Amino acid sequence: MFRFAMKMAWASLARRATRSLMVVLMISVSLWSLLLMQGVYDGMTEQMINNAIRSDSGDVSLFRRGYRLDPSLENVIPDTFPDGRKVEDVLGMDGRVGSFVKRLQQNGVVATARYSRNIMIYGVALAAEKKHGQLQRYLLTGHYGFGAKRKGAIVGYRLAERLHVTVGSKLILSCQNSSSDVVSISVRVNGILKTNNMSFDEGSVFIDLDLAEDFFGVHQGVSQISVMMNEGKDIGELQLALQQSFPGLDVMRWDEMYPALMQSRVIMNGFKSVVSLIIFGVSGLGILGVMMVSIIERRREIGIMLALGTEFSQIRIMVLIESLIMGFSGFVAGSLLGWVSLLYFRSYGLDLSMFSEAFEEFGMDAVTYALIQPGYFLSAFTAILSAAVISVYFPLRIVSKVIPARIINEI
Amino acid sequence: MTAFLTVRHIAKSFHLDKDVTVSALRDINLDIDRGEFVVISGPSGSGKTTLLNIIGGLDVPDSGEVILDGLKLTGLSERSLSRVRRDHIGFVFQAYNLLPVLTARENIEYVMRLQGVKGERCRIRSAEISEKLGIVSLLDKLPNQLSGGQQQRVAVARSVAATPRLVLADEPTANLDSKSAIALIDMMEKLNQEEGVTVIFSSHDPMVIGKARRSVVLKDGKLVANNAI
Amino acid sequence: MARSMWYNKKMDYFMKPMLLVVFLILHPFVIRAESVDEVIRKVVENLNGNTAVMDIRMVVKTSRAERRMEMKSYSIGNEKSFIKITYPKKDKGITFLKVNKGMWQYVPRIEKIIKIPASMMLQSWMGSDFSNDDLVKESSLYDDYEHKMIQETDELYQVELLPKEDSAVVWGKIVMLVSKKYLLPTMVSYFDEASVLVRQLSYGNVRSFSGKNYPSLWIMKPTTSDKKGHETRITVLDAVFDGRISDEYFTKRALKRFSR
Repeated sequence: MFRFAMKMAWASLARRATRSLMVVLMISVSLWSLLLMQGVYDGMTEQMINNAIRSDSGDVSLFRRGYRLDPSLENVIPDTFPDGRKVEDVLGMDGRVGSFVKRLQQNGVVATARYSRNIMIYGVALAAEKKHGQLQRYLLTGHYGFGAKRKGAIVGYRLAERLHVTVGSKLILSCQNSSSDVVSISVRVNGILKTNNMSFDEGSVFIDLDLAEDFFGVHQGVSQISVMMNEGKDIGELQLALQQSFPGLDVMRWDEMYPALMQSRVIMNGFKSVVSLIIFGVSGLGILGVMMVSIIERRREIGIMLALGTEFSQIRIMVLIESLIMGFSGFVAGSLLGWVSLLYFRSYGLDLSMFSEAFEEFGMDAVTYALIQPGYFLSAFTAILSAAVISVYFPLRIVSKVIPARIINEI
Repeated sequence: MTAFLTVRHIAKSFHLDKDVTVSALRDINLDIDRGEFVVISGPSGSGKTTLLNIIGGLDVPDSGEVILDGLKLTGLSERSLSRVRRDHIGFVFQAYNLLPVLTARENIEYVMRLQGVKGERCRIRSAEISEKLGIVSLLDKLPNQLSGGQQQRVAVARSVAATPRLVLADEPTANLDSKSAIALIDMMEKLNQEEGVTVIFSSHDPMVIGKARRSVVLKDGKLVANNAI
Repeated sequence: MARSMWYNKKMDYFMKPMLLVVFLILHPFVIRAESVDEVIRKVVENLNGNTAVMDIRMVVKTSRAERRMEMKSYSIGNEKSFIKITYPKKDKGITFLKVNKGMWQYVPRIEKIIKIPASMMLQSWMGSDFSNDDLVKESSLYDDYEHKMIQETDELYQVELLPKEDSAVVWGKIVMLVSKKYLLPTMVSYFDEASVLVRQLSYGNVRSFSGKNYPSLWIMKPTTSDKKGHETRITVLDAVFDGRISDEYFTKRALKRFSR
């Protein structure tokens, strides 16, 4: 009986091929755009997060307890703890840790003859940073190095713009050192970075770690240790373990350090839900519209079927199957289109550089690589199929109001 | 002896508009025996269609009862009536009989499929009936590819394919030319003889009426004559 | 004995003329190289004095308004200085202390002593065209730059000051005109790394204060387009040099104590 209903459903759809195809087209195009949008936006968010992780926080960062509230040179992580342990050793031995870098940083001012800005001065070890977050990949111009005399600096591109400096320009860095004296040094711009991590691009100057130690007057510790995990390890587990090893330190995950990014994710999820609802609505209305018309058109046909002894329930199944076939076809077509285009954008990236200025304001890359997640297809499947089922509710109600006698007699 | 089909005190009115009520049938009483070939005639508006609908369980009377082969139709649920129609009654309507999305063969086999008859047997039966009605060459065509007469023949084939006990035909020849009309009625009579199925049809065509073996005449909703021919 | 005899003979007939020629040839470079550093050193010395107590009027002009302030300053060399604002009434009592490369400010209105952090060093001092940093760092003209004489006239030296490799100064170069007569600057031009003129400080109206010649009118003019029409004029109304100044002025307590 089910096969018979299937057959009737197919036949009905095939006979009104154009109309059925229009609905399928509608569903598949809206699904396609939804998938594309989801993949691209998720890709953007993930990129933003990755940029932040690679350039700054790592998967996990260690700070002296209280540093986040009072980021002064007093709150540094000691190289060696009172009990003789060294953070480096502990991290080096942990199998979950892929790499880690030490940074010494202080708020300060960078100035040229004409411009000055408040920035964060980071003392870093470039070789380690290269292995760690591949900082060198963000190099825009210049050279990834501090020069033979280690008196070079690498600055964010936005900062370079604001200061009107390029590679080779002189910068004067001033800050308060560990004795609270205001001290200054002169450095030359060696390289310019573009990380799309806004706080970096606008407000950081990187200098050699040893130079920073002398400049700040801090030789026995660092401000931050950024840790990258090995693939597949659990970040929460690592955090817990490190926290227990070092009760005097704050061990923070990247999402704790960048609540704004997490918010982006949350907002994005909200946005996606809204769009899913829209797709759901569009599919539902499309199917509803077509089925309504189709059933009203087929009143007599249905009347005959009822007269011949077909039960309401069987007619309902038939109608439902029609709706599901359209929904499912739309889903398959849309998914295919979506999947193929996402694959393309995952490999080649979507170049949104015409909007690039706006994106850069928000710290997003102009070229976005899409993500593909099974969840997209799953939620689309649920949305479309529920729409298909729900949207035939009204058409089915009409069916039950068709009384054989009257229909047959209407000529 | 209880008749095959008993119609007792059937009355039906329709409410058309505001307070306009039309009495379609008034106190109809009728007995039909198994295997009869009956025509219900009368001027249009005399209630022929209504009576046939009530007998066929397509409509519900205001009062009275219909008993078909011992089964009381009046008072059955919609679902049960559906089953009765499926299993025991075949229909031929004046026009628009066939399901447009199915081929002639599929139309013929429709009720059998509803009954759950296996595909093989459906095929055999539909082939058999088509032979008798001379429509074998039309089997794979869609209704819109058939002429009016051909469509009616297919309809007749369908009406008997599932071996009903009763076939009801409401003005089956009304839209046909006289030649096709005669041919169709002859076919129905042939089936009545060979299959042993009771046939009740309505018509106002005298030539067609003459083919029946019993005539029931309706006028203004009342049964005015009931004679063998 | 023989040597000295030989020497005399050689000197008379050969060495003396040779030495003279060498001296004449080398004279500009040798003498100049020495004297340029000397010139700058003297200039810095003359501008600061061992100690100085000055009454100063400062007029800050912007394209919209003109503001007048008066203050008293006490300084020892260029390492310690104490300034108290005496006029106008709303700023009266604000005091500044510069000691050991650090700068503090006391604001009577909020009764707070603020240490000027690195981030504020480049901000303008009391709304003028001088920055906090200018007040703190002046001595570096001698230590932080290489000095080169560009030109010389009867009255003026023109010296080019280029920052030493490791000097933490923002300027690309400074060009200073020095009066030969007074060994005081007349005009100092500050350039950025692209050799674009950023500001000029002129010193004029040299007067004698307690026996010392000192420019009594300083005018700082920024030359960048965003600061068109801006000017800060400092007039030294009175000055006492090399007197005794109590060390008490150069403590943090002094900020509040001498505010009234």
